[in-house]
Amino acid sequence: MNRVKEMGSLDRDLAEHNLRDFIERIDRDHPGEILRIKDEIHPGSFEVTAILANLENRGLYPMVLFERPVNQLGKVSSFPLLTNIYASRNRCALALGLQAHQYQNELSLEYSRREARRITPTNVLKENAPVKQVVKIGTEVDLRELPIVRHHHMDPAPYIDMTPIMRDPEMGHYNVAFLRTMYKGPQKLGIHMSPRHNWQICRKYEEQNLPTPVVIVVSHHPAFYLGALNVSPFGVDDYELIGSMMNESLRLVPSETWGADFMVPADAEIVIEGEIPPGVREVEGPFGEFPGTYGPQRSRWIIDVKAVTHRKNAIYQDIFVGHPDNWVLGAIPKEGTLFNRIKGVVPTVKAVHLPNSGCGRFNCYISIDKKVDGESKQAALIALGECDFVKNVFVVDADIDPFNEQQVMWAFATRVQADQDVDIIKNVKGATLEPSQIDDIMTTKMIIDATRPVRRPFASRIQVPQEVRDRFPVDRYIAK
Amino acid sequence: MVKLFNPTCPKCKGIFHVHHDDLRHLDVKLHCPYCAERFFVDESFALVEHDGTRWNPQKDNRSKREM
Repeated sequence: MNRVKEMGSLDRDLAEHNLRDFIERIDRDHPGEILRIKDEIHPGSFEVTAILANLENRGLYPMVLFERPVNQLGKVSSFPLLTNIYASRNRCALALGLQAHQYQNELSLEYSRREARRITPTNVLKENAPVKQVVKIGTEVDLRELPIVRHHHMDPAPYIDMTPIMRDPEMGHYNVAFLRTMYKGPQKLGIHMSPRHNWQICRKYEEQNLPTPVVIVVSHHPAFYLGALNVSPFGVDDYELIGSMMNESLRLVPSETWGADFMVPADAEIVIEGEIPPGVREVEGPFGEFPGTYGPQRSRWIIDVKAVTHRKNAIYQDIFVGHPDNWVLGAIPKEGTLFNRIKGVVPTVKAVHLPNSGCGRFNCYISIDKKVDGESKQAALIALGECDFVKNVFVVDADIDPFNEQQVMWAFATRVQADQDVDIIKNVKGATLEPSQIDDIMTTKMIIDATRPVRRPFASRIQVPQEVRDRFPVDRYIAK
Repeated sequence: MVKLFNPTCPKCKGIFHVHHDDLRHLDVKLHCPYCAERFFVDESFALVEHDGTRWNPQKDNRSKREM
């Protein structure tokens, strides 16, 4: 008990198992963070994302609960639709049990602490698993009942954009990842995979001409999804790591389709079980993707849906892809994981930030208290090597706050000579959806060393003497 | 990003992105994301190739499917 409080920075013991616990806490303690919309809204006709885009235009990022979304059958869905949860770092801090104001480096560091830990999952009986309150199998399944969102104008269909899970057939670990799945029919989805972990698992099944079991966790506690986006190596069991993020053992229950051979999260709101048939490809996409650009129409895998299980009155969850909801969610796990990796080589690393200006992935700001010339390059190379999304690394000194982009750009302007401090690395594995890449896989990466040299004098920052500032507090001159 | 080409739907004239290596020379129908029309690449109303070359398959190639 109270492993959480040992970490020192948490305002409460995170005793939440599921999404509705989180919503209840937000409603009770942070009502300004949630916007409830009671009108009938059509998610399949861009109406959900229209509202989110209009909120974003006004600088507003509440999580939004659509209480009466209309499904693809033209009826008010029995599943309320929740989206934009992650668009604010403050809410992500709350999701991990921190206080809202701990949304910057404290949040990254808390993630890094939990990322270094594992908690073994717990198996529960079906009668104790809320996700089994309603079970639909085979032709009972009709995905049109769900309020699936069509996000952007070039998307050909509504997409579920939450987390498919696959289990490695050789090593047995579970991998959880955000992958887009396109609605193709009442029991059929299309799925896009980039060459990462789930792709590796699917490839192994296909090489044996076997279908790949896949489970989509459509809704769960936000800590589940923050845990899913860790940057751990292939072979790490994501269920163990997600348990660490949730500060409790993840409760699992046998799936309907494969029994104990494929366990599913017992406290999820909605779970979709299906199989990816080997060697089958169909046209899929385009899709408005995380960089804020469209990924093209492709020839991709399909999922034959075998079962859907859910809670009574389950809540359907969505990510506003290509917007802060998507970027912040991607950034925090990478900040935490990269901090851990860099710290092993450059112990004086202070903070890692992946700002929204880089889609929470492509630009990485690292601050270090540099003791030896060359440490900045080491830190940058680790970030580039550990995460193929990271494209441009800015390393700054400890006097620069990497969460303050103005300060980072000031260091870039005043501490960088391009011929000395910028390195270009060609032909590195990148992200297939990054729009400036001219190759499907490979990209060019850049290191900008915006730190001051250790071994020679360098102009100091200007400062007004602190003791004099202390004698003249501004409260004396301006109204409070 | 990968190599893209932009076909124009013969029905609604909508333009969209398609993955060149996956679908430019595969004998499958593209799927217009705006009107759900399904058509082969050489049935596009117009086409901009990944290198910027512009052409009209229906006019310039007189569709090999008709031959």
